Amino acid sequence: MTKMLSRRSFLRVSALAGGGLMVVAHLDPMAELLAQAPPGFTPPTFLPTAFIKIQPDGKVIIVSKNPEIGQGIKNEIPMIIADELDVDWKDVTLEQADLDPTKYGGQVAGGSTATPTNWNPCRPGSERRVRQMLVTAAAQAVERAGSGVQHGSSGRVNATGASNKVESAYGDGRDQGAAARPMPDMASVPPEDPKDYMIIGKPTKGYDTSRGHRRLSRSSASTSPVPGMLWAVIGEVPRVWRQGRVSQSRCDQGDARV
Amino acid sequence: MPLLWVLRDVVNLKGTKFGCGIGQCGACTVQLRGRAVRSCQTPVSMVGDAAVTTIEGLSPDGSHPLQRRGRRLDVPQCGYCQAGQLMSASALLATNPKPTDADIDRAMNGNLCRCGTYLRIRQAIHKAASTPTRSTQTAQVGAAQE
Repeated sequence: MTKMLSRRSFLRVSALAGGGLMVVAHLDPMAELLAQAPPGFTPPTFLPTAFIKIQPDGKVIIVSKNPEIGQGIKNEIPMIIADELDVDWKDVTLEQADLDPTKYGGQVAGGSTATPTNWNPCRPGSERRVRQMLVTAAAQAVERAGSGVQHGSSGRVNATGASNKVESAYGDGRDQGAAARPMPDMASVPPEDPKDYMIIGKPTKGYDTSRGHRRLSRSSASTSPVPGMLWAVIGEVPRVWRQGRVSQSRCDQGDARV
Repeated sequence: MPLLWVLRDVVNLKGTKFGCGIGQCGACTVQLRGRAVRSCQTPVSMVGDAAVTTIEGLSPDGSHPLQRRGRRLDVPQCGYCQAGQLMSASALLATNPKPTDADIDRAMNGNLCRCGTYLRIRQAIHKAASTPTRSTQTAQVGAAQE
């Protein structure tokens, strides 16, 4: 490797080589990172940003970064990303992010601002550029010259060449060197026109609805108690009703009093 | 000891939820002799050998009409209140197979939902009322009180 690696790049390359764990800023393109990877290294899944994983079969995993507490954010931010990426929602699998604001940006629930604050980072930003990158790569898979290519629709690229109509998926584009391509310039890739939205503004079922409902019926199986676990209970005189207050407390094993 | 503690910590049936612990939210609702009760306010000494049905006993696989309709209508949001909502709603349908809006509001009053899914819960109850109901399974917890 001829280029001197920064400490951050070193960590990222090491993580990648060590099993594909990505430590990337949430808008970082991966081209620079992959260019620094050991020769011959191919990531098992194409990871253009921290939010998007494209599998060889064209299925897309979108990482949902914010905590879901019933407000629907697990669907909502990935819906923006999927629409900008132009993939069919049925081909999308959601994955709950771990807590890592350095990787994903702010990860909070509360304040009712997640949509506006995540709109711009998700919408005209990297996802659209990732789409452009994938489309270009996939287009090359079907027609080298690029003319006659109808750019992506639902994760696919169509080309009507001289003889046949050929189709290629984003998953193909990943194999066609999209990962080694520089992220297109932001200014050259305009955000999606609202009239073209396929997912944004449309009802989508809660991603965990059926899973959660079924889990209720067999919840005991997954939550066995810790062996030897003790319970501690402290009873306190209700202050509002009796103006009581705790003067002292003593907790012994198996016997707690206030 | 409250029935809720027996269910969750002795019998290890964690489907029934601890919400407020003072009988104000309905998250801990179970059925005692088919009637919806707040398990956090029900001393286990009151239970005797009566049949207690928890959410685990409503259906083994989440296939009760209320659950099926609930999924179709996308009722749950955070889902924390759902076990209690389902136990209250199934107790209502057992005694009133065709409840009106007013019947539903009366029976479900006291089952709070922070996410505000009340209208969809009501819709799901109406839809489930027109669906054949399978008999529910009951879990005996009488032995656990000792």
